[in-house]
Amino acid sequence: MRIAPHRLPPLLALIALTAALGRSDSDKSDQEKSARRDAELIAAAKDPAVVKSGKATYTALCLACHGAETAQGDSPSNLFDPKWYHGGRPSEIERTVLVGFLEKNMPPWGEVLPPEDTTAVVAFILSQQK
Amino acid sequence: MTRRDFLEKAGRYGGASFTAMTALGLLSRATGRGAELGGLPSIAAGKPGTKVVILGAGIAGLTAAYELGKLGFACTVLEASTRSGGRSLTIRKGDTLTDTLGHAQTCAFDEGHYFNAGPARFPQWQVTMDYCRELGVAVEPFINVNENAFYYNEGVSGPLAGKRLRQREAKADARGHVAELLAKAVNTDKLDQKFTAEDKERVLEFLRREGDLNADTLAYQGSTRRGFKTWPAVDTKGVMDPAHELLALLQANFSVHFHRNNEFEYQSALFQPVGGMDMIAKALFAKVKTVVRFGCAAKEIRKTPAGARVVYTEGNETKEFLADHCICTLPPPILRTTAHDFGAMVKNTLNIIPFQNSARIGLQFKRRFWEDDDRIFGGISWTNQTINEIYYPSHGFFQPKGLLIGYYMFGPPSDEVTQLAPAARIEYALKQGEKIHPQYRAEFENAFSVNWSTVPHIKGCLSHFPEKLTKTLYPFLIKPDGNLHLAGDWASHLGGWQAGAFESARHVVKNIHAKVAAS
Repeated sequence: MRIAPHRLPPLLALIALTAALGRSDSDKSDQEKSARRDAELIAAAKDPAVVKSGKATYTALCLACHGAETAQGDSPSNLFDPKWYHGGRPSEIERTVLVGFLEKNMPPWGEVLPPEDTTAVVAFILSQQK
Repeated sequence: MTRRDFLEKAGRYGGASFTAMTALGLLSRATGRGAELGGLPSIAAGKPGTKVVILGAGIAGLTAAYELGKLGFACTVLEASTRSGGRSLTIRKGDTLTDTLGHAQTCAFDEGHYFNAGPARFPQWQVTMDYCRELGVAVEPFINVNENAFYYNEGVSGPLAGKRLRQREAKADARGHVAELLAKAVNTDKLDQKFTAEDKERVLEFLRREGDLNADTLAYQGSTRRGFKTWPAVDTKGVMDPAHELLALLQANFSVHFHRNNEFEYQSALFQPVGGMDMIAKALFAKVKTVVRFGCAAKEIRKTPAGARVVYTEGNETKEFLADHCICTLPPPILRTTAHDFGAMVKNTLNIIPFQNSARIGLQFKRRFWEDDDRIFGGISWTNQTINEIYYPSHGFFQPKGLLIGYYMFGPPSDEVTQLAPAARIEYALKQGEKIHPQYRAEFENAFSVNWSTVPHIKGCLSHFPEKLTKTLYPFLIKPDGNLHLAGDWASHLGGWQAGAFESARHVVKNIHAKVAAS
């Protein structure tokens, strides 16, 4: 399990940041790209129109396995409790949506959904975090 | 000359073959709502030995073999496990299951008791009913709705939070209050629609009946429909409790349960096979058992210039099967990890089928307390706890012991119990169930639980194909890809129902027959 950096206590976050600074240039550029994408997705989660569209897609494609926003149960499939099994940063959630975990029955939605739909689904999920 | 041959030859001259064969039970009487197979001529005479290899001996695979056999095809069914039926699984004493996480169980139910871990019921309109008739499987009513069963919601607001109610109380009161509101709105012309005096009276008359309202005041003041605290007899006309307030019912959120019986598939009447759901699979298997091979797991599904080639393992050996057509009924999670020549769009479609998990537990009790103490004979109690529902048996009334389905879950809660050891799953069911039936702990004997995402060779429970993709991707599932075909409930609009497997198999049988007949 990877803990979402934005939920890390300040001291741990500082350590993580220091570790990140020690990485190579390509790591750094990946890191920047992810941070940029995180910010875009967090902004999308504040846009009611995007969230509404994401909810519609979520209801159509995701609800059957992941349950409603009121979902209970400690499981990777619960997207509305604070625990993330495959990365809880917005860009990590998006990556999971795009590439899936077929061995766990999670489809790679990126192969069939347009990017605006996957963005909207992630925005909806982020908007419902308690 | 066999009876079939005779009738076929006679039919070519007289045209009476189909009627005669149907009457003699030689052709399918199961009509279904999709592919009509009755009346298709056998291809045996013209094209002997057309070979079809069928992967999977669940309902879809067995049905395909059965129907193709009637039409003169030479079928072979390769089944990876050691039993037929697939998800149509009934658990009885001595049955064993080791899931993919290594949790092992052996069923300790008493003789005569059973637990349907997969499908447990079917509505009267589904083709499953026709197959029961055709195969001679006895059916009995499945009591899906019992007004005497309970609703129990907790963590909600209002005076009904954490209280169990008989279903009829909540339903009659909600219906009465809503009818009253509407009647008053109509009576004071507060609706947008303008009624004539005559129409207004018609609407009011409807609402009086609908809500059991006071004829003069149009008020809902309770109704015998909500039941009694003391039941009517000779010395009492019955004692009623006061009606629950509308606000209290809404706060308790019971309406989430109301719709479950209104859905088309769950409307009365529903049925079950006598003795367990697998009676259907067993009857089908009996028809085709000479062509079913167990312990044969498909590893590759290939197109060839002339047909299909399947590579499979049997024991330690890797073998190959050549056929004219291949029908693949492997569930999506298995098929996704099997090498195959289905086209890119079929592959995409297979990848996005949400083959979801579900979890069920069968709990055996020393005493049928739900009948003895609570007077619930069949039906389902509903709750907003994660166990969702408790099924009471629709059979075996008055027996000393009985078996309940203690949870039926989907989504994250089902994934959570899937990780638990069997003993912890029992505790999960008892802890929530005892809030509805305090007798649970004292009467509990043993249990058997099935989590479909960890059942070997299946790895999932059901799929409702996303409505959003029915026009774009669904067509790829139901169209032949060369001589490769997909069948299963998940390749139909009846996902999760055995009827979907029957219908899908019939659809494929019709496609193969048409292709062979035209060649």
